Amino acid sequence: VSALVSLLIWAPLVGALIVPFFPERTADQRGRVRIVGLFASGAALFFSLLVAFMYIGDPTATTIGTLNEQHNWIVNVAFAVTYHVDIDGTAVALIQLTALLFCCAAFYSWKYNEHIRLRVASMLVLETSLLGVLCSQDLFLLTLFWAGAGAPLYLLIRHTVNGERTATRFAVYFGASWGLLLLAVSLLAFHTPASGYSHTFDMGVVLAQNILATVPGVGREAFALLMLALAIGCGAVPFHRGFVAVAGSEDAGVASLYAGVLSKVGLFVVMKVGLQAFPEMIISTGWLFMLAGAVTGFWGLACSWRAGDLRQAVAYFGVFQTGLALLAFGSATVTSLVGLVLMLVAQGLVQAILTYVAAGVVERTKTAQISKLGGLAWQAPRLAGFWVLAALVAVGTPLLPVFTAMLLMTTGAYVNHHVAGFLIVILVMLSGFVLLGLGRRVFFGPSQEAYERSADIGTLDFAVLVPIVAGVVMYGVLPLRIIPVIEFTARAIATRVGAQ
Amino acid sequence: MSPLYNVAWAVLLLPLFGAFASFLFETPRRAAHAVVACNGAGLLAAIFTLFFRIAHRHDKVSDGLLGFLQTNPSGGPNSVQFAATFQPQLGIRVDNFSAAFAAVVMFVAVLVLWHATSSMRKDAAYRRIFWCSSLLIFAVVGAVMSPNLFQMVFMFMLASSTTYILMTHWWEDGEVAEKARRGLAWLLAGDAALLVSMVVVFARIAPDAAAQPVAGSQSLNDPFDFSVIGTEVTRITSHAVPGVGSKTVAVIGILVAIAALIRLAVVPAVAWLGAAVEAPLPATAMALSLVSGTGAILLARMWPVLLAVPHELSVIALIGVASAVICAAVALTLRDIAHFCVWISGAQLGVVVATFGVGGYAPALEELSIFFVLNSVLILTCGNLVRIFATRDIKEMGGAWRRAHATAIPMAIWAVFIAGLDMSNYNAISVVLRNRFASQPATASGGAVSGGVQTAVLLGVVAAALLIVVAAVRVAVLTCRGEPVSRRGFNTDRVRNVEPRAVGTVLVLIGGLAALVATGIPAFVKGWTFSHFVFFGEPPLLPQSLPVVGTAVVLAIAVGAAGLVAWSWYAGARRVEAPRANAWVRIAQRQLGIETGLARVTEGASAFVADILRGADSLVADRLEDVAGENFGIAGALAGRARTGRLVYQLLAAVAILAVAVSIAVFAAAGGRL
Repeated sequence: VSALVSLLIWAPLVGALIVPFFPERTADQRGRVRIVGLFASGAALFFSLLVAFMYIGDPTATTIGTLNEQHNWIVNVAFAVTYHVDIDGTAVALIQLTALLFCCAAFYSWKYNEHIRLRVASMLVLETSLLGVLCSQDLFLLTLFWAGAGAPLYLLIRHTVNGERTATRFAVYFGASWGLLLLAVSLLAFHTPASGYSHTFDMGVVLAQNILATVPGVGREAFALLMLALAIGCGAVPFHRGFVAVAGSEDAGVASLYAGVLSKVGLFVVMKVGLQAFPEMIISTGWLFMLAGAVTGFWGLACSWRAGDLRQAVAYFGVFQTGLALLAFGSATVTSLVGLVLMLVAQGLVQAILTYVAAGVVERTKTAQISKLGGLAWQAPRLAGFWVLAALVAVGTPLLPVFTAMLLMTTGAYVNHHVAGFLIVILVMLSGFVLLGLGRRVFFGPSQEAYERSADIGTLDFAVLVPIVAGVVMYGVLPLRIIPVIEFTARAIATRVGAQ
Repeated sequence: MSPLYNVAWAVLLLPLFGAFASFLFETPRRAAHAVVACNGAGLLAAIFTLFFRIAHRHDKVSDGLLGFLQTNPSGGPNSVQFAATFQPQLGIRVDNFSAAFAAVVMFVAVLVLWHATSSMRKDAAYRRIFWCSSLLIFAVVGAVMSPNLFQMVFMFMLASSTTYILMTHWWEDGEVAEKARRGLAWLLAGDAALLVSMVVVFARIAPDAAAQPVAGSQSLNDPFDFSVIGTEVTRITSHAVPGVGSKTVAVIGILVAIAALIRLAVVPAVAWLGAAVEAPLPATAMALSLVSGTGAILLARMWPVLLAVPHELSVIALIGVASAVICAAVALTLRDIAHFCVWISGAQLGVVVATFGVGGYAPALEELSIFFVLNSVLILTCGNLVRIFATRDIKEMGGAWRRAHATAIPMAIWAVFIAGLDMSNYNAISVVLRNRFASQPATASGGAVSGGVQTAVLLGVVAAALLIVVAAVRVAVLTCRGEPVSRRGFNTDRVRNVEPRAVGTVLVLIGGLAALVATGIPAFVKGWTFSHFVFFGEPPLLPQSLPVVGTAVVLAIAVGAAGLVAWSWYAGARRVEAPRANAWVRIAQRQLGIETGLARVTEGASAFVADILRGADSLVADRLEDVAGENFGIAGALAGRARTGRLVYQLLAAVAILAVAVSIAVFAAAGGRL
């Protein structure tokens, strides 16, 4: 049991190390490469489910360090870095989201024939990085894992059509985000009173210190750096263009991972580090979060609604999701934090469905221009059905996960910021409205002659979309199972915020 | 409490089960039958529950609850303000109110579904109509049997989504899909208001509710429970809750009223009904009759809050009566029979709202229960007429009485009922008259509504009733009298009755309607009238004492008669068009320009802002990023030019030297203990 977290993190990397040794000249050989990728992702999904079942059976396991692994790595110098990994309650749901979407992306790789080794290996490295971020209990380790996500994503983006420009844009944004995060983490660690004669990066020690009380100036700088890193990394307005470029890329697998997982993981980092390290600042600048959230949310929705390109519309929808999450940060109550985690998962799943469906539309019609689309439900009713389902999830239909998340976020946020509560409800309702409008323009209306030969989704698309829908149903129908697990850690964070 | 109350769970769950069961059958026909069977069983359970409740009407309220989710908000920066437990629950409440309405709703729903097995049998998406309708029935019954505000929100939102799916049934027509989206926008606006009201209830009322002794066998004082809300509102208005004042109650009351009035399709929210008529016939019937009526259920359950907010009932009454007059006036001028159904529904609902507003709790609920059935009769009959005439234009219909007697009879019966026999006019008028002129007002709240408002409501209700009667008789006469109108592509010889099942269902509905009206007659069987039953045992409310108001009877009959006379005078013995619309009616005929106008204004303004934002993205952000990206690219290109085989080795060597140097430095700094 004690090695379970490491198995979860490194299983995909093992696959990534094996893949380069496989040839990729023939279809069979490429198939083998993909199967290795699928197995490695599947292993991570299996371990994530194992963890989830452990915690659902006994939520207190999240607090007593059942899965804790801690080994010295770099010690006895000016700083001490440990290989410290664990899974807390807030991470469980996001780990499941990550493992699930990577599995789906592994299925989706069957659609590609070029650079298949590079693609599969990059995805597996990316998965290891993101799972590492979610499990890290050491700030330096977390930063390294976060940095590790950059290279594979860059390679994946670069190999798409017209990917060079997008990759460049991504590199600029991601580099800036990572640099700022590293600076913030370093400031935090080096201003934490040293234990022995080395400063530690261990999250438990660093976050327990109230840096704003001990070194107020440095604390404020670290806070600003961290928030800037968040804004850039997660696509908050005005730093959203990089996000939109990648989330709207032609490779649906990459786009779904970026918008559905990476941005959500980034938000999770801020919740985990930012809220605990700077509770006073979070509370005092709550209005700023609210403002940023409202602007980002409305901006994303407005641009999604008026976008001329379907993929861009879906990408902008991801920007809206970032705004929605920001609205919950400012209040930092137990309820809003539980709602936030659920919302990240739910929106991640919605974003993945939208991305794959948009890719399916473009694949069949050879165009992403919304003005040229319409009436596709005649030829692809299942594709339309998946879109409508995603829209109904987004609009907060009961028994689907956004409903529960919205309920908790609104209730939690309302206490500290009444307006935030209202804004969350309005944004969620508007988001569904925008998606249904897009769906109407793309799928409904009379059949178009140009697309009469288009086919509906096949087995492969089903293999990608059905697991995501299963996740949606599970989180929607059984919120009572996962909420106690999330709540344990959320309470610890909120208590720390409240204690300041 | 008797375990037999658990039968009520079947009323709620069988429609849901039916929706899922429909997917287990291979053929759509079998799936439809499965849905009808499940809902039929639900109807039997509802009837059993109703009779059991009638036999035990002195029993206390019976609740059955399941936890939907639970969090413990304490521990954060809000632990002082929050209640310790946030535990929304789903379940059933069996009291006289819910037992009566569940039976009525299930009765209508099953007959509508049965009608659909015949009228929709050639539809390509036959299965979808049934599973989705069954889900909608679940949502409506869930709202009716709701024990708390959370479930009301839950069921309202579920009803919105399922209504949307049904509204987009004929998605091939882009306009239908667009209308459905706009209809959904209205419903969502109401849902958002209700959700926020629930949040306010939790944030402001829950802490005090949690501190009170737990009532009955429950494990906690659920702050969303309607009874708890009522008790807390009383405590707040008597200043017994520190830090919470009447402002909170006003906010909750206003939000609830907004949600209910939108659902009740008062002008301009009547637009959502306009979208619903584009759905298949059963969906239209359920949306216009049942879904819209859930707004009144919400008003009834949150009645103590409405009573506590000064002037709120007056405003509700005025909105209701204005809506009724406008809708009736528009209905009078329409040629499209589907739109006629929309506006006549809006008019009846307006009268229900007005009756609520003047404090007529029981009369309004009675009007509502009759509306459920009466409106279904209208919509199914209109659906039958559209099928036999193959048009929605009233002017192109005619001769139904001679050619399709069985199909035409329900239309005539409907017109007679709505002319006054359904007692809606009497109910609304009698409440105002009692409040205005009797020494004992109909309710305590009735006295709170000012005399001016009551007079305005009285005049408005009379005007609306007159217009409704004229509109109803006009449509009945135009569709039934004379001979079918010849038109290109339509063979008048084909005008004949629809299949017996479609006619039979409507006639059964009429039978139910007659029984329902009979229970509504004051003092019909003393102690067994509807108004006494729905009130009984519902603290803090007491049974409304509603003796017959003679003046109201005379006035209601006069209104019906005047309507008939007005039409006869106008129409004479000739076949006539709709009354010539003067300027304001013409505006109303275009739905007051509200639907399209609002859509244009809001969408136009939003599109303008959105385009600016999108423009800012491409004009400003893109250029800035391109500059950064270009520099990055230039740097890359320069590095590429400098790249030679030798350079790579030099770089590798440099990295190796650097690594060794760093290692030595670290080793030295660590004092040799690395």
